[in-house]
Amino acid sequence: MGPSNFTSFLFKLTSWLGIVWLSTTIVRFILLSDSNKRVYNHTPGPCRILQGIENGSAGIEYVPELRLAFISNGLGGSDGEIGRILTYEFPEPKAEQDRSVKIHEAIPLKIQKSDSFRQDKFSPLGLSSFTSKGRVSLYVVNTHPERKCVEAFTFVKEKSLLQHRKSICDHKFNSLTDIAVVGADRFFVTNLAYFNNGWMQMAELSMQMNMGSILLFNGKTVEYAEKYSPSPSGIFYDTPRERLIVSSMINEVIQLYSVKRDLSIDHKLDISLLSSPGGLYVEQKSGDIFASFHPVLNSLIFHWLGTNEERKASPSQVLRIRMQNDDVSWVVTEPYANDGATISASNAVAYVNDQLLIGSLFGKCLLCDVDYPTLA
Amino acid sequence: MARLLIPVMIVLCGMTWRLYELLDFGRTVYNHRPGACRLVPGIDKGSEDVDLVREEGIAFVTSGVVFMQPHRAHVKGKIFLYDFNQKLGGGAPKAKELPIKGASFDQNNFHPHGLTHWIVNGVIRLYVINHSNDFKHSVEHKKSIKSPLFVRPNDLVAVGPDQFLLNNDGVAQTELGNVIEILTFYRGGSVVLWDGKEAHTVLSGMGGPNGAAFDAKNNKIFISEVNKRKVNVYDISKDKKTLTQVSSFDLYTVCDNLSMDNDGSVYCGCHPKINEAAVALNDCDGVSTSASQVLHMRFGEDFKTIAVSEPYANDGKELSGSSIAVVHNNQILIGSVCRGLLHCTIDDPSVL
Repeated sequence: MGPSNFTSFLFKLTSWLGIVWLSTTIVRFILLSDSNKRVYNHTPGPCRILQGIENGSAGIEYVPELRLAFISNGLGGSDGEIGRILTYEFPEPKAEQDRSVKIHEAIPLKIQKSDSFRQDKFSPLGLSSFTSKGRVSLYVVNTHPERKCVEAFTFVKEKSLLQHRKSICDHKFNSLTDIAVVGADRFFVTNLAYFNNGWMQMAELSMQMNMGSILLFNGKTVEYAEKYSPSPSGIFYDTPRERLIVSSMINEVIQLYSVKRDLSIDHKLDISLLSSPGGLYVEQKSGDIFASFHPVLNSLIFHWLGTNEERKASPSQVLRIRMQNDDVSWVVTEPYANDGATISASNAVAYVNDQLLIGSLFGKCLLCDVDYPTLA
Repeated sequence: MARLLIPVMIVLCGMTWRLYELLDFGRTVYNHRPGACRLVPGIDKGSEDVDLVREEGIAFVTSGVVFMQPHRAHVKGKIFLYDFNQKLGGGAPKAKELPIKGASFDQNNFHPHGLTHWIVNGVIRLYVINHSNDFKHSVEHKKSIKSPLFVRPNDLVAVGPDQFLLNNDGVAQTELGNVIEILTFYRGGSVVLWDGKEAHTVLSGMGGPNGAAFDAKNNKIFISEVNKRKVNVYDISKDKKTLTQVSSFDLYTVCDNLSMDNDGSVYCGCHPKINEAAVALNDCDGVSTSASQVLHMRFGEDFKTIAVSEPYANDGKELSGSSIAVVHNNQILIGSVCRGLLHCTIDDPSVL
């Protein structure tokens, strides 16, 4: 066997390995795309759309002290249309008899003009908050390509106003998606992928390369909490249980981490759900994890690639995960599912006083009554 | 020789993929209920079909179906009565077993399957499909109606006094034969009309027609074709002898029996994971379970479009192998092929 035979052998070997790798990637992509999945509609009770929100409600943060939900708006806006934050005030629990008569409206907040903040370069997505001594600090992920930062605001309730305090920017913020605040100016953020957007990001996600990351801002610097994470989309900090919940969009799992005093995280377990999770919310009292999903990924891709005038509907889904006493097993129920006709691409969720608030990537925000909270 | 290997492999891979998808291997069913649910006590050998007599608010339930399983011939076939007007809240709702009288009635060979009714002069006439221990078929009424055209009846629906449409879901008479019939995609199903005196074949070459429902107001017949995972809508002629297809809907799930609601919409009990159903329906007395699902179809005015919702879904642990759903008086009864009968209260119709 001479040198030329060996090189041709090597060549054949590498080409076969290349074909094998390509075939498995294609098959894994077809399985990921959910081409065989269908979603059937059902609600946990009567639902209605929040008035005032048309082009996106991609992030929701509920502040129990004020009974107020903050909603990110504007991802679905055309170029030039600004991003906004709106609020929805939940009725007092005893006022539920009036639920059917009340008009459900989201109020837009003014953002005070300041030198540090550019209103025209603001594209809000995930949000989180920190409340102390009655003061609410709102931290918003800005996904505008020229401002890959977390914007910190102070909320002035009496004036329905947000005052911009500062922007926290870092070159490690590749594709910021969601944020979970753990203390004053201390938070975790997720990078969905290595590439920022466009075709490179889509290719990276389709090949399931797990190059996203979870970062920690400790008040001074931005560090990697988890350098290689499988497409982390949503993130939520469960304060009473000191748990960090992270949803993995492509791997279709929800990851649980325990958070230590020094804010280092320890991976505990993965909850496998076979549907792509986006937004997260943990009910304080019970510890139940509510998550919004994109059950059919190929529909989400077409939905994402569309324009505001014409977007193909993408199904929505909300699951409720109840961890059992042993902390390693769980029970899942599905309070809400929709084929996209009512609300498309659900990306955020909150559960307050037996009502489910569901936000969508580019569209309206839905509020549903949960008639049987113990069953749904 | 090696050249042939690659296209053969590709075809085999394609067929395996198709089979994987058809058998629902990659599918997950999440649990949700329209309200509080509980099993009706006393029914545990099946409630395959439920027929509602709307004027009275009562429903008849068939139990103890034995289909191509000679080793289960000992299972007692029964018919239960459920009263939708009964007072709820004091424990589980009740269903009564109806005693069957008649000189020619053979309890040992009674394994009822689908049933339907027609009211004549205030008398409710029940027509029940029966399979004997050696899998001979008949429709039981005041007498036994037999016909060579009743090849393998599954469900039937009355379209007039002493007239009914009967669905034969295939031709094979044994389990093995049925497996071959399904895997080869042989279209051996047929729909037969009994006009009071004799049977006529109305449709043939179908892929497993199973459930049937009749919308008298709009003159429409609904039939679920299980092998194709579809529900078809037909116009029925005045003489009932002709069915013309209006539309066909791919529901991507195996719909078993159908029931009509007051407003013209159709409910069906479905098997969303057919791979589980294939195992569990052969293990009726054992531990295997199969996922359950109820679909609610609302038709557009021209019956060419539908809106589908899913009032109930379960992974099989609460109800296994759902085959029928009937809604009346803010309650839903969900029957299963060979296990219990589930009853749920519905507080708000928006969940349906």
